[in-house]
Parts: sequence; structure tokens; C-alpha cells
Amino acid sequence: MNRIAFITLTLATLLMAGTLAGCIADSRDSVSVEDHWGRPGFEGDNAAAYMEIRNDGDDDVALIGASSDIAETIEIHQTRMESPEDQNSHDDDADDSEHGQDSHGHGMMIMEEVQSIVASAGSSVLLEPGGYHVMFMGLTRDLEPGDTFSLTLHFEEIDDQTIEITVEER
Amino acid sequence: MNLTTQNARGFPALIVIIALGLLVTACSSSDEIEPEPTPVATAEKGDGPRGMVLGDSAQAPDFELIDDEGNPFRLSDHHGRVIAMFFGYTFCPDICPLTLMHMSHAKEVLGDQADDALFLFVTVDPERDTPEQLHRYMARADHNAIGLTGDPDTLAQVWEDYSIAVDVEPRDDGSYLIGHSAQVWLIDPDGHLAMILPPSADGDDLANDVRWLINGSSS
Repeated sequence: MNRIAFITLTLATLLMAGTLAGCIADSRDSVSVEDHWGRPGFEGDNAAAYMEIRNDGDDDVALIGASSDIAETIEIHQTRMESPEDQNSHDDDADDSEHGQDSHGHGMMIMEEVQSIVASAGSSVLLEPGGYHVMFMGLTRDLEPGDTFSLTLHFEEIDDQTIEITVEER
Repeated sequence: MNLTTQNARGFPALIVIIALGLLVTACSSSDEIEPEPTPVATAEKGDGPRGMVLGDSAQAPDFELIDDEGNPFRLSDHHGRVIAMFFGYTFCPDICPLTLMHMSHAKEVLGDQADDALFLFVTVDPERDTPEQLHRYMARADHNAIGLTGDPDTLAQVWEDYSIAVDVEPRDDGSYLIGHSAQVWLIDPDGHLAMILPPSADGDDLANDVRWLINGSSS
């Protein structure tokens, strides 16, 4: 038996497999999550996490959910100004005519669940206050500034990514 | 046993290993792409008002609610200062803390002049926002507005008086979120409805407009 040749070829095979895995992982690693942080909150209350999802790859990537033991329910939400079309359905709302304000002062901010947030190829998408956020409903413990917790992000096209969120007052 | 054969087979394998090593290097180099820093807007804005100035000098509708320490709070008792008033709820994790941060920032920017201003957070969620809940929410380092709550009927009248739309959105799990108007009202020291800041206004905008009113702009 040619032991050295066998070992050498085994090593080469392992290296090749490792390299291939590395290359595949590399295309997945082209999605990075940066500048992530979470808001403080009390047990039972709601909170949110923010981040930048950067996609240096060649294909769009969609964030479709997140999980953590920090909250009973976790969804992807968007805060947005309700559009005039939406507002027409609120006939029971307060009469706005009294002070003669225009729509700039009266926009109703609503939070709604979104199915996905897409980071386009070669681009990045921002989850920031007043816009997209990962929404935690029913915190399982207090979140004080400086606390950390794990958050696993689920993407449609690539593997999960788990990040460590630090709670901050921003 | 046969060294010649071993060497003959080992040599090409080594070349493969070296080649693969180069490949690994080539692959991993794409990790080094650094994101470009997001440019920060530094444009200077003027000193004039940034929110919407209301010209009709209507008196701010008065109300009596309960503050986050459980004490009665009558709005008209606090005229003489500029009042900045926002409507939200403590289970709102996004726009409400953001606006409270803006209020805290405005207080910092105002410095000593902050004593001439009062920052109020009126709940749109009387069911969950008890004085105790509001108090612990406001007790956070950067939430230093006065939280106000009350019975639902009294609050509904306040919302109507200040054109605050409140839309309870029930969820399947039995909880609810609340859509609500997110403008900040500014009341001048004489108790007039002076300005409205849109939700897009930041802490600097708020500080600017509060200071503008403190300095007697509306005279």
C-alpha cells in the first residue's frame, strides 16, 4: 500500500472539498449584517431591532423572518405614513378641518407586518427607526442598555444568519 | 516500500494542494470588501421655524389628565412655557421612542432654555398605559417627557381636539397595535396653538422651533 500517496490524495480531496465549501459559503457570506442594535424594553412590552443588510452578491436576497428567545412573537414590520387613500376609509376619525392644517401635520403613522425586506444585489437595505424594523412583541425579559441577545435572521435564498444584538439607547 | 512510486504520486498531489491553496486565497479575498460609510447630512438649516406655523392663534384646547406619577395634570396650569406634545403609546417600539429621543435631544440642545419648555407624551392606549406603565417607560434615561393618561372618554376628547387619529389594530394573538397620528404640537407660552412638526422632524428641528417660540416669535 502506498501510504504517503494515499494520505496526500486524501488531503488534496479534503482541501478541494473545503475550498468548494469555502467558495459556496463565500457567495453566501456576501450578505453581511452590520450596525445592528436593539431598543430597550420591559418584559411583556414590545421592542425593535435595527440593522443594515448589505448584499455584495450577484443575486437579490430577501429577509423573510427572524427568531430569538427574547420575545413571544417576532415579525418584520414597517412604520409608514398612512396614505390619503388609506385615510379615506377612516370616516370616524377626528374632524381635521377646525385648525385648517394640511396633510403634512396629520399623517397617521401605522406599523404593519411585511412579508420580506429585499436587499438587492450589490446594494444594501436599512432597517432604521421610523421605517423597517424587526419587531419583538411580548419581551420574555427586560432589555436594558448594554444587554445582548442572539437574533437569527431567516433569508429566502441563503442560510440563516445569527447575530448578536446589543441593546442601546439611540 | 517503493519510494519512487510514492514520489511520483505525491508530486502531482502537492501541485494540486498548492493550486487549491491559491484558490482559497482568491475566494476569501471577497470578504474584504468594506462597505462605504453612509454619508451624514450636515447641511445647515436656517434659524427660522421648520415646522408648520399656525397663523390663527387659536387657544390650545385645555384638558385634565393624570401624569405618570399619578397626579392630576391640567394643561392650562403650565402655560408660560412652550409645550411640545406628542401622542403615542408605550407598546409602540419604533416611532414613539424615536420621538421621545428627539425630545430628549431637544432638551440637551436647549440647555438652560429647556426650563422654559415642557415635553408631554399623551397616550393613545389608555387600556395598557397606566400611570405606572407610563412612569417606568419615561424613567428610561432618554425618555424625559411627562407621560399623560386618563380615562378613555377624556382621552378621546383630547385626541379629537388635537386631530389625533387613533386606529386600534387587533392581532390574531389577542394583542393589538395602534396606528396614530404622529405630529408634534407646539403651544406657545400664551397658550396658543403655535406650530405643528411633522413626524419627519428630528431633535434639532424640535429644539429650533421650541427656541423660536421661547424667544417670542409669535409676538
